[in-house]
Amino acid sequence: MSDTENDDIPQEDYTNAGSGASLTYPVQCSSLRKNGHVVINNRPCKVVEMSTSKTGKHGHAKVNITGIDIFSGKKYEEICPSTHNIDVPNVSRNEYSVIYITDDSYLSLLKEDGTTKDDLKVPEGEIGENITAAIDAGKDVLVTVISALGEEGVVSYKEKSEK
Amino acid sequence: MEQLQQQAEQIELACVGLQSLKEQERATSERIIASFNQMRSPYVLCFHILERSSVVLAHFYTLSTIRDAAVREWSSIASNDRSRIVEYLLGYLVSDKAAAVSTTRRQACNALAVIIKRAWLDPEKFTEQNLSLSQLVMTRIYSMMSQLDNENVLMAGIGLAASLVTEMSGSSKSSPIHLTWDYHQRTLVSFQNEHLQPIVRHILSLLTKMSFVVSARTIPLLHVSIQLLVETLEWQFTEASATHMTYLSAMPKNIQSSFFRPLESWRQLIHSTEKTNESVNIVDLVFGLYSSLSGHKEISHLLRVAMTRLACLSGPTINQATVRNEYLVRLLNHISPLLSNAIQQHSSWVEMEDLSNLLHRICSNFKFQALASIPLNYSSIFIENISKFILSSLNIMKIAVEKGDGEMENEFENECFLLLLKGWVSLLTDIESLIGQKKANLLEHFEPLYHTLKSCNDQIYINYVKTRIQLSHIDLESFDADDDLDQDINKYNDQLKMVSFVGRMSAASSLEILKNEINGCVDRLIQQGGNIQPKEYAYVAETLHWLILLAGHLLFDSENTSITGIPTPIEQYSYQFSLQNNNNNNVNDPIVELCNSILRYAFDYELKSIAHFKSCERLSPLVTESSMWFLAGWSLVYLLPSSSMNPHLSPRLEAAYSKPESVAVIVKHLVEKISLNLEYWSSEPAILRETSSLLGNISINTELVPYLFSSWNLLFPLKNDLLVPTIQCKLYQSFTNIVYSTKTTAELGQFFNQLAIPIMERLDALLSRADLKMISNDVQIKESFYIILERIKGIISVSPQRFSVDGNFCVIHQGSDLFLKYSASLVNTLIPLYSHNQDTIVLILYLFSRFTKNQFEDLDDKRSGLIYQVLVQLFKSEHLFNNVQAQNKDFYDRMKIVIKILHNLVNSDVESELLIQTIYTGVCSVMPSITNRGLLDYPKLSNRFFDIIKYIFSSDDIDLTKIPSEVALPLFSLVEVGISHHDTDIAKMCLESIASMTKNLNRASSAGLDLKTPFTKLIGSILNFLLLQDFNMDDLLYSASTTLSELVISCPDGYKAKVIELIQQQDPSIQPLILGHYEQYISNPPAHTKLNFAATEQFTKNLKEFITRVKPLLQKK
Repeated sequence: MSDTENDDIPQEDYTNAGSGASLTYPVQCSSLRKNGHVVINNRPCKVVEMSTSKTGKHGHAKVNITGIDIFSGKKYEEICPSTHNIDVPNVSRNEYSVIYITDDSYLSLLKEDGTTKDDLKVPEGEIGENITAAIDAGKDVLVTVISALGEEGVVSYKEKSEK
Repeated sequence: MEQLQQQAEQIELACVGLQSLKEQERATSERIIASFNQMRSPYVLCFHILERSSVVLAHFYTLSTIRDAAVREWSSIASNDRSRIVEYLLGYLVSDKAAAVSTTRRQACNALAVIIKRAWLDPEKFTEQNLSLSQLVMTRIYSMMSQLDNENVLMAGIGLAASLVTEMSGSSKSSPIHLTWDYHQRTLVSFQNEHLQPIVRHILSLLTKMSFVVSARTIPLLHVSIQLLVETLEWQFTEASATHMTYLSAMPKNIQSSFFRPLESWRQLIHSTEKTNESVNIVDLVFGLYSSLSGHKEISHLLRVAMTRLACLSGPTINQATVRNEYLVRLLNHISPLLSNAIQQHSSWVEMEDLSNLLHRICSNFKFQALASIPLNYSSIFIENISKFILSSLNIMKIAVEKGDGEMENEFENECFLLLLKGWVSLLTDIESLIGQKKANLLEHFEPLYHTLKSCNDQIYINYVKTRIQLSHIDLESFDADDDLDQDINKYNDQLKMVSFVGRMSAASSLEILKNEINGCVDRLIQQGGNIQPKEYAYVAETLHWLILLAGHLLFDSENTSITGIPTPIEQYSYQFSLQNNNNNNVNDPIVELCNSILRYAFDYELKSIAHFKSCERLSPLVTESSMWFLAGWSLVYLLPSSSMNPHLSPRLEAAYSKPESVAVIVKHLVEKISLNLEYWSSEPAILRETSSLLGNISINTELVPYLFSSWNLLFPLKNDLLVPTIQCKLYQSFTNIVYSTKTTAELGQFFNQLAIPIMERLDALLSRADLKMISNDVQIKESFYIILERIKGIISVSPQRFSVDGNFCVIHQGSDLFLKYSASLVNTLIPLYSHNQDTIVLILYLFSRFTKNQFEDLDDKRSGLIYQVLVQLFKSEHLFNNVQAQNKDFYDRMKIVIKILHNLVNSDVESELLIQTIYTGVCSVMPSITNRGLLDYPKLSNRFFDIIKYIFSSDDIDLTKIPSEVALPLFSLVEVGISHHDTDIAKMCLESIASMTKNLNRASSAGLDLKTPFTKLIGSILNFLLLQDFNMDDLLYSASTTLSELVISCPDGYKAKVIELIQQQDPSIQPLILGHYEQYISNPPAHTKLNFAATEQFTKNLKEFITRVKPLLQKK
């Protein structure tokens, strides 16, 4: 998909970001928002806390960011001068139905276009156990898959209400 | 007997176990004690323990058990048993066991006092003298207090009297006894009229006697006596007339309690001048005792509390000027030596605090008016002393900080300095009002005292300015980069506001000192240019920052959000100044001089520095922030000063800030500054906030807006597209203000298009993309949407009705149309796309909330029809709530705004069937989410929600019978459950909802609806609520009783059936008693409540009696 297909769209910067856009996008540190995303230590994180401090009372602000890795849940912190740019990851979220779980613990997922996606492992921990249990019980399960910085992972699941 | 002993031993063991090191043992002991405390009729066991036990804690808990049980069961205790309990406790109080440990004695006093209060209005008579229980006890107390030769009994009597005063006073210290406010009032008035004065006389004469022989042996006795005196001085006097209740409830508690307001009958006692062996004047006594007991920390603190209470004397005993003046002289005569002593010796911490409080009270109670009526030798020394005290407190703060003790400085600042400042400011405001009311000349010593005060005031302001800067310099060295920044503007706001009164009174010197200091700093900065050392720069910046804050507070009130006048003292000073210097053209107006010094910093230094270095790296963000804060506040008051709000505008000030050519120059500079700030300071949200406030403040002044048009291109379009979105919202709000102030429709359209077309182009381009779903998660796209939406939010935040175009009033629909164009896409496209993106969803919801608040009422039919459709879609959108997983905070935030939208709709003036339908849909869709996710526990959110429900039930426009049953049934059950909500307001709203609903439905019942069953059910719920739940009777009883009577009228049979059902559930032994009470009090509710107010009132009273009698008997299930 590219912009050239739609001639009537004005060619401005913001419209250029197609699905093949880069993995990250730089923004000024001070314009980050809580609940938004940010790259810290090369990991895609969700911003959970932001505060400003100064080098002296009359110095320029530095932004302290606390982020939580969206895949592993690990906590990261970063301090950067508020004028500097910082990377924000392109985070996309998709929902798939689970068809079955392979013997080597891979999920077989049904995409919207009818094809399957078989490259995701059952996540570790409680979510994974619950998904496996629900599939074993014959329930229809929807998983939410997040992808960022070239990495993909299941972050949540729900059982379909109607069977 | 044996069983009794066993139980007693178990309790003793538990009391010992409470102090055990093992957690398990402690928990078990606590359980035992708790169940002991709840035991029914525990008196025999309690007496047994008190007689035999040697465990101190056992005595303590036994006493509280007796107290609680007696209060709980009082109505069912036979009258002989009542007197037996009281007699027993009185005996115990004077026994050696009680005397041995002070806590036990205090607990015994407390238990007795609470029980006596509960018994206070009992009609039963005892003994041959035919005395009621309370009379009997009071006689005993007086006799105990007279036994000077038996110290033990004397102490017990005084202690009991003190506890009784505390309990009767209704202060926050008194124990709960679960009776109505009315009961408290009656006991309070009765005790006050019969016993308070005799007790005070007693204690005064006792203290007089003891003051002659202060010795180590008499100290404990003195201590309790003074405590009793203080308790009585803290009494809140109440007139025993019918109006007192409204009076008391109308006044906030803290205002009431700050005065000592004895009744007329106390005049003799308070102002007695004769001095005998038996008594001396109360003021002389307290101060006399203070000088002889100064070595005893606790007692002297108590005495200072007593002094403070005496300083709060007001009301009928002191309303004659001569009496008041004599009293004040008497007080000041004693206080002056205390003050001079404290200033010289830097007395102890507590003493300084107490004295500050004392001074604060004297100043705010007697004010300048009283001081100016007494001989000058008292008043001027007093004024000088306060000012010295303030200066020395500033000094102590400095010493504390120099020693590195920041905490001490903080505490001292709050507990001493601020109190003193408050007192001083109350003198200043009084002077202002005296001059304003032209009463100053009537006061004998006004002029000379005013002169003294002014010269002290000058000193205080100058000293404050210097100290503040010195303190902050010291702080600067210890500034910790890890500290979250405590912004001075917020932290010191209250203090600076008070100091501004001081500064304005001494306008001449304060304007002068600030101007000179600021100019000094700016000179240094300009001269040294880029060569200034960082450390030196920090000091200059810090000084400048504080000076600008002080100047701002001096020249305007920081909380202004609309155009206001110049503070009167400043305006008058500047006016007088111009009259005096009429012929001298070399002298400029002092206000203009001060403002110019700050403008010099902003324009001559900052602007040039940025232009020169093409960066703001060398500037202090904090100073820029404070200077922008100053300019924002200043522009509301001084830029084109309003002639109607400033009757005495000085001609020079007018020349500087009102002439078109000078205004044009200033606005041009300000706009230049704003645009540079947006460009260079984009990483400092605080500066941007103040900058956008400045633009906002200029844009709301319609006379100033024309000057902005010429600079429009400098501001618009925004050069930095990625500015913090909230700032963009504020900026667009200002732009819209400017656009809406255009004079012709053509101009309006042209300017509005400049705002709206780029927004529309971007939104259209994004929304029409075929791959929108795929790319929506890209940060750039997301941010793009976010910023555009913030801009639209800014535009629709300006409500259109204030504007007139082409000389005619007309509604400007441009803003609404812009929003309406995209509203459907917001709901149908963006919400599903970003349902996981909390900030985007919240922003979209805010858009709807702003729209319904600011634009909704002005819409015509066509437009409102459109918005109803979209709102229905919004409420029904499954993406709004379904996808928020277990993160309750996010869910709460979304729900809060949806309810806000509904609330806006409910509160609008619009009447339309479609509106009501939309509200139904909204309520219907949020109700399950609210109840299932436990959001009802949040009082603010629930409050709003129930307010909406109340509207539905009470609106005349809504026919309740036509509400779809899927809405109606859950609503009914919700209000039914809501009456027992823990938040009183919500419970009240539910009760009122039921009442209005009943009224409404009654009208409809003629249509043949059978309402008997639901009404009976509701009656049952309300009876259950009244009789089985603990609730605040004062707040809720009235609503409950009107609701109940409303229901009873509609369904008398259901009422009877429910009452019978309730009675049959009870123990057979009490059934006849309850039935009797029912028949006596509430079997005949009023026939037509609506028509007869008195009947409703009577029913409420009866219901209260019924509840008081029956509730304690019922068993809770």
